[in-house]
Amino acid sequence: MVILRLLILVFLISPPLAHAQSDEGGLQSTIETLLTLRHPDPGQNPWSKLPPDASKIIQRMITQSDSVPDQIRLTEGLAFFTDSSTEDFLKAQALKTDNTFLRGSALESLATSQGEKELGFLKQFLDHSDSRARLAAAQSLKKFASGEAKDAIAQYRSREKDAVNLQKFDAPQAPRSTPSTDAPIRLKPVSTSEDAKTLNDKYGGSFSGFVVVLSGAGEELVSQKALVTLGTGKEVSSLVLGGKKFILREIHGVGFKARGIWLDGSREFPFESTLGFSGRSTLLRMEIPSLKAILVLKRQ
Amino acid sequence: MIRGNPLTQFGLARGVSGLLVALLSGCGTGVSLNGTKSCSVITGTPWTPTVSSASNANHSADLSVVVTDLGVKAATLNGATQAASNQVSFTFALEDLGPGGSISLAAKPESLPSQLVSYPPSAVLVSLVDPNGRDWVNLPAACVSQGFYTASGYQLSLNTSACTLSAASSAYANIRQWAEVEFPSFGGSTTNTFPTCDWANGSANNITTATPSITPTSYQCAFNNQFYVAAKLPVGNYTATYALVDTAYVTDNSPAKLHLFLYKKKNLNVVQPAQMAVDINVIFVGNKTIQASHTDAGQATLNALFEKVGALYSQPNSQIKLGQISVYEWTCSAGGDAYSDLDYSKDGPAFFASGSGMVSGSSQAVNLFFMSSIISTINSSTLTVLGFSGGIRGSLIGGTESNGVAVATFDKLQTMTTSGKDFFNLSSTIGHEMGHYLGLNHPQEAGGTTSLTIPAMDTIPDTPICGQQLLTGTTSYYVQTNSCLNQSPLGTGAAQVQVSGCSNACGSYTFSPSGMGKSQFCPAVNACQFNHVMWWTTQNYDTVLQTGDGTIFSPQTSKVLKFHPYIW
Repeated sequence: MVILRLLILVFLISPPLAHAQSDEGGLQSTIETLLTLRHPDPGQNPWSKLPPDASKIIQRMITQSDSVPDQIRLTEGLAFFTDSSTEDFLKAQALKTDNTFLRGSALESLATSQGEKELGFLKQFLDHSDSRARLAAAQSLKKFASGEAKDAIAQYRSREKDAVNLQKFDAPQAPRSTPSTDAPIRLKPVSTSEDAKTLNDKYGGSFSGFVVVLSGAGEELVSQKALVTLGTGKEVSSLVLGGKKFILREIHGVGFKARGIWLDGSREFPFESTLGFSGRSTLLRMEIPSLKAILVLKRQ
Repeated sequence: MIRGNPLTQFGLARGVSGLLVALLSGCGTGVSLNGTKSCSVITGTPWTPTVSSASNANHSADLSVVVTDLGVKAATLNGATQAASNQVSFTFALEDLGPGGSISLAAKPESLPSQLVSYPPSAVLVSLVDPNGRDWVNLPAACVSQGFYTASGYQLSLNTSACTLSAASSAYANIRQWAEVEFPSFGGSTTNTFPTCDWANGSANNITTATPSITPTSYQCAFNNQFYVAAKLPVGNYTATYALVDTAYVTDNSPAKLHLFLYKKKNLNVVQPAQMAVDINVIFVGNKTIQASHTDAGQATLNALFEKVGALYSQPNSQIKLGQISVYEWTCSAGGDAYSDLDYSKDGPAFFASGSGMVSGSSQAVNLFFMSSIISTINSSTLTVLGFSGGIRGSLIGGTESNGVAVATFDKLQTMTTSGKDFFNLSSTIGHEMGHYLGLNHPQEAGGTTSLTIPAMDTIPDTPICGQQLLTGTTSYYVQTNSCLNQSPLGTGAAQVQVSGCSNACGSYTFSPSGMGKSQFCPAVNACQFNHVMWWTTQNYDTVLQTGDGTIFSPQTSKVLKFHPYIW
C-alpha cells in the first residue's frame, strides 16, 4: 500500500511562458495585481518570478501604503530578493514597526531571503515582548541546520511562556476538538441580530455589587452596596440601595443597552445601563445621572 | 456605608479618575493553558448585530426546508486509484416540492480508521437515479471501474481519460465540476445540491480561452431539458449511491460508515418567491478578535460590514437578504487562540472541523469565522490570505472539515475606517467567500488562469469570460482587470459580443492608484467580469472617491444560489 502524504490533485496545466519584461510602471502594476489576490496559490508563487529590480518598488510601496494587509503581503514578497537593500529594509522594519504582523513577516522574509547569516539578528527576537515576533523568529530558525540554531531553538523552547506559541511551534498540526471527542465544547450564541430589536434576555436576574456616587462639595467618592433585581416574570423589579428600595417603572432598550426609570415614591430616577461580560461573569453597569451614581454589579 | 475601594470585588481597584475607564474591565482571572501563560482577559460587551437589513423576518413564508436523517450505513473505503466498487446506496422518496424546489444531499464519512482522521476520505456521489430512471451524475462505467485518480509517485491526477461527463446528460457540466464537489480540498463531507442549473439549453456566451487561441464551449443544463418534469423535480423514489474514496491511499478496503442527510426545500407557492434570506453564524476566533468586537469602534465596523454584505446579496439580480446573524465567541480558554492566526494549508481542516462542531445554534446557517490572520504555507512560501471557504459547496454538516468560511481582520476591526480600502476588501471578501461556500466558482478558474484543454469551472452562461494577459516582469499569465478591458474581441458571433462587451459598455473605465480620485468605474456592467462578486481578486478601489468596481451576482448566478438549502 502506497501512502500518499503530499497530495497534489492536478486540475491545472501550467500557464504559458513568456520572456520577462520589466519597466517600473509595469512592475508596479504587476505588484498591485498580486496584492489583490484573495487566496493566492503558493504552488505558483508569482512573487518569486519578479525581476530583481522589483524589490525597490516593493519597498517603496510598503512605506507608502496605509493598508496593513498590503504591507504584510509586500513584505512577504521581499522574501524572494537577496540583495543588501532588501536585507536592510527588512531588518529596519522588524526593529521599527509597531505592527505585530509586519514584524513577524519581516523576520520570516529576512530568514528566507538571507538565510542563516541572519541567525544573530533573528535570535534577539526570541525574547521579544511580541509573541508573534517570538514565534516568527523561532519558526525561522527551524529552517537552519547549524548547532547554534538548534541551541537557540532549545533555549526558546525552555523560555517561551505562551502556551499557544509552544503549541504551534511543536505541533505539526493544531489539535482538533470535534463533537466526536469525549467532552466536546459547545459554544452558545452571545447575541443575535434579533437582540437588536429587543432587550437581551441576559438582563433578567439578580445582580449585586456597589454604587459609587460623587457626593458633597468635595466630590468625595462614596460607595454603597447595591442589589438590582430585574424580573422576567411576575417578580417585582427593584433596586435596593442604602436600605432604600426603588421600584422599576420602566425599562426599554435593545441588545445589551437599556434605559429606564427607577421610582422612589413619586420621584423618578432615569438610568442608562449596559450589560457586559468579563471572564465568566456577567456584569451590569448602570448610571443614574440625577444621583451622580454609577452602579457596578455582578450577576448572582 | 462602605468607604474606600469597594470595587476590588470586581478587580477594579482604581482611583476616581480611572473609575469610568475601569468599569466593566479587568474582571476575573485568566484561564491557565497547560500551566503556562494565562489567556488574556476579555472585557466589555459582545457585539449585538445592529444591521438594518438583517432579520429573521426576511425569510420567505413561501419556502420550507426540511432535513431528514437518512441513516448511517457501513461503507468500505476505496483507494484513490482503485475501482470504486465498494459502494453504498440510500433510497428516499420525494414529494412534490413545487417549482423552484430543490434537494441537497449532505454525506459524511464516519467511524474512520484512526490514521485517516486527519485525512478523511471523500463521500463521493457516484450516481443519483431519479424516479424516471435517469442518473443525474451519469459517470461512465469505466470511470468507476478504473478509479477516479491516477497516481504518479506522490501525485494524484483526476482520471480524465476514463471519467468524463456531458452537460447534456448530467447535472454536472463537466468532470471537473463534479470532482470539485465530490473531492473537497479538505476531504470528508460533501454537499450535492440539485438542480445545479436552470437556464435555457446551451449558450455560446460562456467560452474558455487561453492566449492566443479561443474555444467557445456551450454549457447546457440537463435539468432544464431532461431532468425536470413540468419544471419541477420528479416525484417518487430516488436512489443515491456513494463511494467513500480515500485520497491518502491508492488502495484501501478499510471498514467505515457513511451518514447521509437529505435537505428538501419546498416552494409552497407556485410563483418563485421574491424574498429569501441567509442566516449567518459569526464566530470570533481568539481573544484578540473577540476583544476587538467588544469595543464601540469594532462594533461600528462590524455593523457597517454586514450592511455592505447585505447590500451585496440583496442587489436586484439576487434579492437574497440577510436573515439572523448570531454571534459566537471562540475564546482562548476554549482553544480559539490556537487558530486565531491560522495556517490554513496546515490547519484548515482541523479548524473548520473544530469550529463548526462547536456552534450550537442554527445548523442551517453559514459559519463565518473572523480570524486575526490567515496564511498559506506551501513550498516554504508564506502568503497571507484575505479569506477562504471550506469548499465550493461547503459542507452542511457541523464538525466537518469543509464547513465554514474564514476572513482575516489583521486585528483591525477597531481601527478600520469604513471608507477605506481594507474595509471595502473585507466586506467584499466576506461576500465572495460566502459565495464559494454556497456553490459559486470564480468566473475564471483557476487562480486567474484558463486552459484550452480543461473546461472552465464556472459554467454559468451569463458570467463573461475574458482572456489572460502577461503580468509585466514575470512569465505568468493571469486574467486581469486590464485584460478584461483591453483584450481584442474574442470568439465568434454572440461570444465575441459578450467578451468584448466590457470595453464596449464601459469604454470610460479608468483606474490608476497613482491617479486616485480620477477613476471611473462601471459597477453595473454585467459584461465586465471584474464587476462580479466572484471575480477572483479584490476590486479596484479609489480611496478618494470611496468607491470601486461593482459587485454583481449575475441573474443566472443568483438562480444557482437560490437552490441552496441555507437560502430560504
